[in-house]
Parts: sequence; C-alpha cells; structure tokens
Amino acid sequence: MADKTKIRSSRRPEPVHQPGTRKGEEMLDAAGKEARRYHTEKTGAGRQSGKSTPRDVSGIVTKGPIDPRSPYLPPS
Amino acid sequence: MAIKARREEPPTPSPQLVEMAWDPITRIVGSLGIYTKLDFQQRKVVECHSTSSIFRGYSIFMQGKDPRDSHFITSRICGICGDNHATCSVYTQNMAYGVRPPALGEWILNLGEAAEYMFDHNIFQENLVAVDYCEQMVRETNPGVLEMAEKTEAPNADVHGYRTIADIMRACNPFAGALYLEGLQMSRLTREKFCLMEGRHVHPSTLYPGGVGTAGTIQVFTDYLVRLMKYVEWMKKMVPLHDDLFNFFYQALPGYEKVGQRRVLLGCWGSFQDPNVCDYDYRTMDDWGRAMFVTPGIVVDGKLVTTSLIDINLGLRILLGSSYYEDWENERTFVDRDPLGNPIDKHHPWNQTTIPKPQKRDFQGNYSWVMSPRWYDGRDYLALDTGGGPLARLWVTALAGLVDLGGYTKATGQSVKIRLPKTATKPEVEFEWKIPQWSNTIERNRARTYFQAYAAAAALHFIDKALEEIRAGHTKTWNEFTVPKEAIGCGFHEAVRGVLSHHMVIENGKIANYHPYPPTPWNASVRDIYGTPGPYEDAVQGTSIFEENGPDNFKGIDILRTVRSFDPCLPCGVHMYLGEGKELKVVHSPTFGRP
Repeated sequence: MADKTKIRSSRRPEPVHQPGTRKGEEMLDAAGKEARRYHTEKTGAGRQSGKSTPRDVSGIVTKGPIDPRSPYLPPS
Repeated sequence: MAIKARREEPPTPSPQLVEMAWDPITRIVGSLGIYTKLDFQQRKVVECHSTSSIFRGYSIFMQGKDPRDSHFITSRICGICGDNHATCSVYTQNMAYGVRPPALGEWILNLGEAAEYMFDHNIFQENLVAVDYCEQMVRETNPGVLEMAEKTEAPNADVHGYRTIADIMRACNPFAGALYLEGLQMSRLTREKFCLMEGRHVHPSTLYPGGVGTAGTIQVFTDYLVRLMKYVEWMKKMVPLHDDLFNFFYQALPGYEKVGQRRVLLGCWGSFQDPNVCDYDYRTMDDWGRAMFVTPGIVVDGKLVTTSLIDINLGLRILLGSSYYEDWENERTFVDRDPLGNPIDKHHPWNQTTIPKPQKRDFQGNYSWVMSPRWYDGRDYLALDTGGGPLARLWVTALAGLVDLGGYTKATGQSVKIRLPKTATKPEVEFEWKIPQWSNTIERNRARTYFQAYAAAAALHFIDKALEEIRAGHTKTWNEFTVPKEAIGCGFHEAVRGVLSHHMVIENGKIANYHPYPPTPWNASVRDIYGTPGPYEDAVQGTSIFEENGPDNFKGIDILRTVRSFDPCLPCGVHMYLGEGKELKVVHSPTFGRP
C-alpha cells in the first residue's frame, strides 16, 4: 500500500479570506431592520425584548390574531 | 515564577514492583496513557503518571482571527462537547461586546446545554462506564463478586425490574445487554432535543453572541418536551438502579471506597444563566454567577471556600513543571488588571503565551502535552478536579444552598433534591443526592446518574420559562452587537465533564489572545513545578487493587474504573497545530488485546 501512496507537496497556499461576504451589521445598515418586528421593553437584567406581528410569522397579511384571548398566537 | 521542577529522588524500587501501562486507555476520547508501578504483595498502586501524546494548539491559531468566529472554531476542540465550548465562547463574547441576549434566547441556550448533559452523561454512563461493571467484566476480574451478585437481591427491584445485582450486570453487557441498548436509544432522543434548540449536534449552528437563531415557537418547545418526558421516565428507573449497582460494590468489596479516592478538591464553574440577573458584566459577575442554576464554587476538604466567579477567575494559574512547553514569563503581558482593578498574574490564562517544545517522554522530567492548571488560594496551588463534572456540580450546589428551581430542584445545604413529575407510566418521584463521605470512583459515577436527573428537572423549568416568554409575545431571540476595537472577556461554564473557562483579549478588532481551559487539562494535569501530581495521578497512586487476577492476566480494572470515573476527554486536554502544514503519513497499527 505504501508504494501507491502519493506524497503531496507540503507547500500549500495559505488560506485566504474571500472578500465580498458582507458582515451582518453591514446588511442591517443597508437593508434596515426586518419588517414586522419591533422592540418592546427591556426585561430581566437589561435584556432587550422584542415582538413580531402575525405577518412576520406567517408571511401573509392578516388582520389580527385568530383569537383575541391569544393575541400572540400565530394565525396559521 | 521559576519553572524548574523541584522533585525528590525517586524511591528505590521494591523487588515486587511491576511496571504496567495502559496506553491508550480505551472507551474514552483521545490519547491518554496511564503508566503505573504496582505492588502485587501489598495490592496497591505505588506510582502513577498520566500522559497525553497529542498537541493541538488552539491558543496559537486563534490569534488574529475575527472574534465573532471564536465559538465556531473553539467548538471544534471536541467532537462530543463542542457545544459547551461554543456556549462558553458566546459567554466570553457577550462580555467583550457588552451584549445581552433576550431572555428567550438564554432559555433556549439553557435548554440546549441541558440536553447536552442528558446526552453525554447518558452515553458515557450506559455505554462506556457501565461496561466496567457489567457481567462479562466482573466475571473476568472478580468472579467471586459475580457469584455474590447472583445471590444479592436488588433493593430497588420493584422500580427497575432487575431482581438481582447480577441481572443488572448482565443488562450492562456491551452490545447485548438491555440497558446498553436502551441507553443508545435515549442518547438519540437527547440529541434530537439538542438539535431542536441549537440546530446541530455537536457543533451548534444557531448559537451566536447576543442570542440564538432558533425560532422560539410553541411547537419547538413541545417537540422538546415530548422527548424530555421519555427521558424523565428513564431516569426514574436508572437512578435507583445505579444506586443498587454501586452500593453493591461497597458491600461486596469492603474497602472499595479507597479506590480512586483523593482529597476533596473540587471545582465547578457554574452552569445555566438566569436572564433575570445575568448582564454579562465582569463587575457584577459574582452576582450573576451565584444566580446560575448550577452554582459555581470550590470545595476544599469538604468546605465551600468560595462561590465567587471573580475569586475563581483571579485564582487561575497555568503552571508548567512536567509539560512539553517553555515558560512565558518573559513574554507579553496582555492584561495586568481586571475591570475591577485586581492584579492579573502572568500565569493567568489572559496572559498565557503557548510555546510548544516537543521532546522525548521522561517520567523524571517532562512527560505530557497537558499543562498543570491550578487554583491559587493565596497559599497553595490546588490541583482541583471536577469529579467527572457531576460530583463537583452537585457538591458545590448542595453546600451553597442557592438553587431552587420552582420545585423541580432544590439545594438544601447538605444535599440536592430533584423532583421529577408524573410521566406516562410512573408517578412523581423525588430523588435526593446527599454529599458523600468520599471523593472516589464510585461517587463520581453515582453523581453522574443523579446529575442526569438534575439536568432533566432543570430543563422542565427552562421550558416553563421559555413558554412564558412566548405567551407574552416576546419572540425575539437575538440582539445586535458591535465588536469593539479593544476588549477583554471571560466565560465560565460547565462542560459535560467539568469546569470550562474561555479567556479572550481583543486588539484592533481581532483576537490577540485566546485560551480555553476545559475540564481535562485540570483532571489529566501532570506534576507541576512544586511536584504536586494531577488528579488522575493522585487518585490512582495509592489506590488499592481488588482485582482477583495476578500479574500474568491482570486487567487493571480498578485503575481503569478510576480513570474513567473522571470522564476523560483528551482532545480537550491539549489544544492540534501543525505549524506550516506538514503532510503526515498515517500508519494504522492494530492494537489487538488491549483491555
């Protein structure tokens, strides 16, 4: 087996970062905040909370929750 | 600090001493070698050295990387608890970036880590450790004990269904025993739970600084809960079963408590953050550390000496003495004061510079790639161990008496109570883990099964909390952050097998220094500059031999049980670096006949 093994050169190109992939914060700056999501109060140890509308969850335009007793239940 | 080893001359070997080595130790991860001198007349291990023959080098190639990649890179340190590293790195980054995940993000992370504890402890206990106590193994090493097991009724037979201890042992037989096979099935369920929370096992894909990418929905938590309740039912059988099995060894082999016993020197860095308290600010780290749902702390000789994460951090020292590295005393100091103004030692992970120096193994000099992490209490450099993880976690949590998870778990000051609710076929059950008399092989293994139940109970609490957030409409799981140009951070967590810390220094927006310290560098550490042996060495040295075989067919079962009780994981022990990318030729060398 050993004589069939090809020993490749130990000189390989160094790994190079491929430019062109934008950072998350750059995309946020360019595209703005995602629609139908909004910040609410801070909870606990200063942790930012946020909610989303049924439109965000379902991808469809809805008039409101399917049941007023469950205002945040996704409509679909 | 001088690095010259101060060692006494080795004692003149006794004529009845036999040198025996297990290299590699099987049924663990990585390359661990245990080299002993045994006195068969006295039935004792006289001397032990633990050695690891792999060098990795994460601390070297992390330099210059984008800090936001650190959790993805450090996750690859380990193929079984990579998520623990990712989590610890996320904690470290949260501190460095000053970002706090939304509460729901933290509960999801806690649920992922709870699933990891349930998975990893389960597969290790049922498929790797249990083999040391199975019928086949006991027949080969202690036939007299098996004979006694056949006649001994299992006290909890009505709960687990095995009439005698020998029946339990038969169920532990590898590949054929019922418990061995059930253990594999349970491991699958726990991995599924993990993937629901962190996207992928074992290298999470939805874990980031500032939160998680998992979409928190009622459905995802229900899917987790369905699997969790099956695991809870399994625990109701396995905790009493392991109690029966391990208690039997004390009964069958008087003096067995001496096997693997060492001084109680336990460290736990805490697990499961409380989003109501934790703000990831170093200056308030003591407060949010004590609010963790597994309490951080250090136990010395049975006394809880601290629960302060700041004290724990300041006392960290990475010593050399028997390792293949050069000292970094004259290298750069990255952090001279912590954010509270406390001085940071040159041998603290924030200031470590890794300088590998490959050399021949010499048990009178340097013999391992593992360094010697110690905790400095102001007087001594303590060779803490983790008790395989669960022993230290339960011991510290019990003594601190801080945890009360809404009735699911409660620390009482001398014990930890774990309440598991009604499941499909079993009623509600309460277990109580009591602080044992010894830090030894059997108690490390017993604690593991209790901590599996603890993790399950904690997960029930986390699901309640996550669903509260969902019902309030708080679906946000991730918060924005920016990477500062200059910052430091540290993260404290519990990898499955014990303490885990990450320390990072950022300069010019890139990593200037990064040092992960997982549990195995602590447990597998070697004799330091003061000659203090590491925990494996200490626990094996002086241990009694109960195996009935003589030197000719000696298996070393008591030694192997001891080493495995720490749940060794050598890829964590040293961190692979191949310099300029030299091609290595791989040669397969079968090792038939290895125990």
